[in-house]
Amino acid sequence: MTTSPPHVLMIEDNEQNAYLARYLLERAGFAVSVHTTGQAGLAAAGAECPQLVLLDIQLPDRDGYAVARELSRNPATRAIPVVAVSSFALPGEKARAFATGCVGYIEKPIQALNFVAQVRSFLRSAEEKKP
Amino acid sequence: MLEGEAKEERFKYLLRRAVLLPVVLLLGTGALFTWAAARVLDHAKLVTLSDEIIEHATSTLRLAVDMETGVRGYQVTGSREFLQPYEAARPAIRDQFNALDTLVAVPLQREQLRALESAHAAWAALAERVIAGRARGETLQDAATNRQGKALFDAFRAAVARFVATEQQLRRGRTAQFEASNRKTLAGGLVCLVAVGAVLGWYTQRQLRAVAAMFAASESAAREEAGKARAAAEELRTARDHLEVRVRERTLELQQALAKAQEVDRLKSQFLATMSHELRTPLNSIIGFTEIVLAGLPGELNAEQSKQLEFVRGSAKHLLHLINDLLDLARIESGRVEPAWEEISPREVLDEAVNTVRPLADRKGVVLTEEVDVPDRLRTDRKMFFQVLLNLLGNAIKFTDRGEVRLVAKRDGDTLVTAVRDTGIGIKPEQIPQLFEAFRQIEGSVQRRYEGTGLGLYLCRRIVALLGGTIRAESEFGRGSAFIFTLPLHPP
Repeated sequence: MTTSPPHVLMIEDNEQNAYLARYLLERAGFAVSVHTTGQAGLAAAGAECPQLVLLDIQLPDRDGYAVARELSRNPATRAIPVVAVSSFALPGEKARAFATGCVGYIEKPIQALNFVAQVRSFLRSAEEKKP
Repeated sequence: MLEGEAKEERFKYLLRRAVLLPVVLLLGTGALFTWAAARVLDHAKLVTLSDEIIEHATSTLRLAVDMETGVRGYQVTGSREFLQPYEAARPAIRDQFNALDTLVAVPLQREQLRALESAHAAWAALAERVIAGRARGETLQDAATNRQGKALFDAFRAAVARFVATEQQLRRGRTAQFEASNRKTLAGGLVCLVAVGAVLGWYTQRQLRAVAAMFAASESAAREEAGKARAAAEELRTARDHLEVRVRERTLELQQALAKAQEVDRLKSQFLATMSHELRTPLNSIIGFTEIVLAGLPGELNAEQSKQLEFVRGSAKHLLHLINDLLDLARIESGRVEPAWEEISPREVLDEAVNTVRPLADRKGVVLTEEVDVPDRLRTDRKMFFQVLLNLLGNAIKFTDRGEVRLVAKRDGDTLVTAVRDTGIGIKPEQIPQLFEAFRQIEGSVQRRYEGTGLGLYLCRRIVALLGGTIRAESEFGRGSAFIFTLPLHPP
């Protein structure tokens, strides 16, 4: 019995960042889709129903936190765990991530060799929370 | 120009003066009038007196006539009956004479009264002789006696007449006097009244004028004052208006300045955030891909490739370190950083810090030990506390090639004292003061080996200050150093 690989949806506009994350995740057996704008990401999330959303806070078209809020409000995407990815330079940004519905965050620059483990742990937490 | 109390005093004085004279004049006039009226009354009484005297005198004559008639009757009839008038009149006439005696004061009249009395006494003596004779039975009347009797009576009558005439003359005089004094009193009274009225009028007017003048003076003074006050109020109003305008202007200026400052502040924040993000983004790629390649994920590396990539990774890490320090510095400098106060377990944080740097120590062969005797709880910012520990421990390990690095933490009164002691290369005494300054690195080619931003200790100093503590360094060049910082157990 083949189970479909877990799907991670990435909303990230920087090509290299996206490549890096996708490389690591695909090697680890994840299916990855990347969208470069908040709007596109929101639509795709509703349509594709991924297991996890990696959300870059610095997006070209919309404020990342607004997208996070949308994802948590939209009944189609409410159940999907969202992880915020950012350099988190300013104080209070991490708190904002949680406030807008993210289950956690990953700081940039990412720890390449630890990245997949972090994503897996977020997925596990989300699974455990399911009723 | 009189003020307040003095004015009141003067007013009272003027009032007294104004009232006093009329009162005095009135009393005086009253007294005068009374005296004049008394005199008139006296004169009137004198007139009445004369009347009385005349009446009494006339009465004596009438009574004398009665007596004469009585005697004559008796003389003729010999009947005692006819003597009754004589008997009755005798005491009566005596009364009249007594009355006259009391009333008559004028010397001439007194003389005449005495003459009157003696005239009557003379007649009465004769009458007695006659009566006595008749009583003896002598009926025959002596012509000489009769003549004598008549003569005496006539003398009496004449005396009375003279008396009365004198009295009447007196009366006329007295009446004239009375009328004169009456007239005089009236006239005098009128004149007095007019005079007093005039004097009073003039005087009162003067007083009133004085008072009016005083009031006019004070009124004009008051008007002047009012004028001045109005002018002052006007000035004040103008000044206030100007002030209001200036205040408004200033407030506007300040609002604009504040808005600008806020804008600048916002731009700074935005700049910091942007810079932070911009600087870290390429590093994400550099560090990330380097790590992936070094891990051999896309393929095996040869030794030289590994070695060179290691250099790249090392530099990237250093660059990240620099950027983080710079951004921390920028944030602290801009006063944007506030400690996130919370109750933490100091032991936990100390352990974590030691564990984090242990790989570094192990790699260098430096012994890392912990001596911790701390309270269970400490109120501080965990991340900042950790940052300082990491920095000091990292430095200690960096500057120690052999020996040990010891972390000693214990409670001292109301503070937690943490010391990182090493047996490293130490610091020259003259360089110790500069240790905690920004962008200072210990000079000397030997030390160039040791990387650093020159910011680490400066940041530690700023952070420790934010947390309410102090930091200092002790060192012996060639022997080792100790970096000691304190944190208050109960920060404000």
